[in-house]
Amino acid sequence: MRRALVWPTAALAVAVVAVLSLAVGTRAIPPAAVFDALLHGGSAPDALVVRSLRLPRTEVGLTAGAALGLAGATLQAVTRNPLADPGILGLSQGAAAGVVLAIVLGGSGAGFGAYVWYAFTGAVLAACLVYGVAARGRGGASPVKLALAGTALSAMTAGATTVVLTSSSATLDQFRFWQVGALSGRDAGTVVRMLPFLAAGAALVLSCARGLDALALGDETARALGHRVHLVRGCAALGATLLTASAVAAAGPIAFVGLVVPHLARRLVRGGGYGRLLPLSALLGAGLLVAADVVGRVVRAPAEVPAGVMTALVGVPVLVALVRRKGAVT
Amino acid sequence: MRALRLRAVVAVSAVSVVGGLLAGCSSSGGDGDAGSAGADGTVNKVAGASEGPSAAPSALADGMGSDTGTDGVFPRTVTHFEGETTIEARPERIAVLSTGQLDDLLTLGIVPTVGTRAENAGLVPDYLAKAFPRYRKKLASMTDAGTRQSPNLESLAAARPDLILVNDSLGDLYPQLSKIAPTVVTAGQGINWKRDLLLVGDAVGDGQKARELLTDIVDNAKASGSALDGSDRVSMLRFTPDRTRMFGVSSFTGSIAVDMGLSRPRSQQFTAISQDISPEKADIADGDWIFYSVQGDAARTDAATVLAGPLWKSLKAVKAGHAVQVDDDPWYLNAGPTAARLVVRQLAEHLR
Repeated sequence: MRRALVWPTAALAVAVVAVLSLAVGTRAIPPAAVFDALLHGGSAPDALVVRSLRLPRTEVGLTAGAALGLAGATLQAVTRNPLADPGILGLSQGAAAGVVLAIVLGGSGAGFGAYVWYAFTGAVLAACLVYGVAARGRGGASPVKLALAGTALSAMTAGATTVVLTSSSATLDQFRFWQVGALSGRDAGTVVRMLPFLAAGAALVLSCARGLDALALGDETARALGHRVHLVRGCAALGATLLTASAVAAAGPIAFVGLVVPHLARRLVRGGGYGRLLPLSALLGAGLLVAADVVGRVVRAPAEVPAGVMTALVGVPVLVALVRRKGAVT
Repeated sequence: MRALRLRAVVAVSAVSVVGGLLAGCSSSGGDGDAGSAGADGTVNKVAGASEGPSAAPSALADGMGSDTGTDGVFPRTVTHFEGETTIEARPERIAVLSTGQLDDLLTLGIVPTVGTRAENAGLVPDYLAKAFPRYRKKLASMTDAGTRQSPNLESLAAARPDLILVNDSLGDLYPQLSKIAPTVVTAGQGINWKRDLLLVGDAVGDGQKARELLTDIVDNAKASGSALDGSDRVSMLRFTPDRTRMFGVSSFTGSIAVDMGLSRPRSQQFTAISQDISPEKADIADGDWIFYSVQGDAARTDAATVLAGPLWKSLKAVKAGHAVQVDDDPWYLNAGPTAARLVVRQLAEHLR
């Protein structure tokens, strides 16, 4: 695809998906009524459904998807590992364990506000542990060691989480509701509370874009080019952690968006550098997650398949298609 | 354009993967309290019937019950849903494994020694603890035999019961249970609460007493109902963590509305236990009154978003202040005589 066409096409695709997300659901609402509800509001049941249920869920999907896309692209750069994503590095499980803790301790109800700081703390702890384990021994934190440490920690955290859950059925119910990675049932305020986290994380990550370009050439070269390698890594990793935690707190642990989207973006802006790759990953991530949610509403209608399940189903074929094309994963 | 081709590949493979998934999980369960998630519009039928009864059956099923009509006579042989069981002497250590049976026994004046829990609930539901303060000590010393879905047979056997009561949802366990102690299997499901009470009464040697109790409750329901303006349409709704259900005619609370002669919204006049509705369609459950319950903590589950949403607030009943949150346990979980009395009383109080 011509480079000039990439951005408008991607933006258009996301817009189309967002419109579908407002128009499709268990309740049949004619498109005219959807537009009317968006423009004029109103108190008819159809209008209320569009504005109070579908709009927030679309907003949360766009925001969480963008956060996951950005986080995935950043983590792949930081660890120089094309298989890196928030799941493989243990961040998602760490955040999930944080949420379980939040549920067990009670606190102020459910939802983003009650979960986000726990999720963030869990993700940061997981990141530090994974890095700490991987950095020991010869060769420092190599991509392989990071992935191994992340996988091991993920498994351990998931085990510990399950122990807590199976011993408390009230916690299990609430967690089950959150854990499938559904976008439905999020209230209208969620996206507003997410935005500061998304903005801070995106700012951190984007400010490191040039440093990440240099890291791709290897630590030595990056250093020779005048970049402070550790600062770039730490800064970018913190940003990615913030982004992951906010997405997980809002929508549950959603797999594959962070893994697939950067590869797709890389194909579209080949050789463009992280200055272009990161924003495009955010855009595509938003589109993919909302698309998965829409597909999830259609395939088993009138039942809904949660977005977290659909991302894996939609994401795997994308990944397979990418892998089958030579040179996609380098 | 290469990207376009890529998209086509993706679309095709995504569809095929999804198709495979659908083939794998298209069977939808759903039998009242089994807890399996239902889709929007899924109707949860009374077990073994495509059409549920339009009122709670008020007599024992054909051929069932004990071979003696006189209370307190033992040994007696009880015919039930899995066969015949002979009970040698008045049972002293009864184990209740299924919903409603604890209510049956306590209302007959008997405290069992073993019980099971519903998910997210204690061994003794709050409404029973409140209704029977005189049994507080005995209830507190009951043996906990795990959950209703999968009772712990080891703790059950260790408690050495002399009668086990269980309903047909655990019918598969009958051979194992009857090795532990004489076992009587009731129908289960709320709509059968009357015949289950009669069968439990027959098993413990209080059949006559159970029949009198039932007549009293039904007469009271009829009297309370006839004092009301029967034209108010009563909607019945239950929120559990991942489902919202409207209750139909062939449910426990639905059958009480029938006994009281109350009207129901058109969307709830179906003869099945319940029907799942999605948050987007909450408005089809509107009526003149809504009696809804929330399992677990309302602030922490899906119910919170529905109840706080503008769609819910736009319902006629909610605007009129006629949406009443009721106790989940007696209304939609445990079907027994004390629960029935409570539901009748609350309906009469609000609809007056």
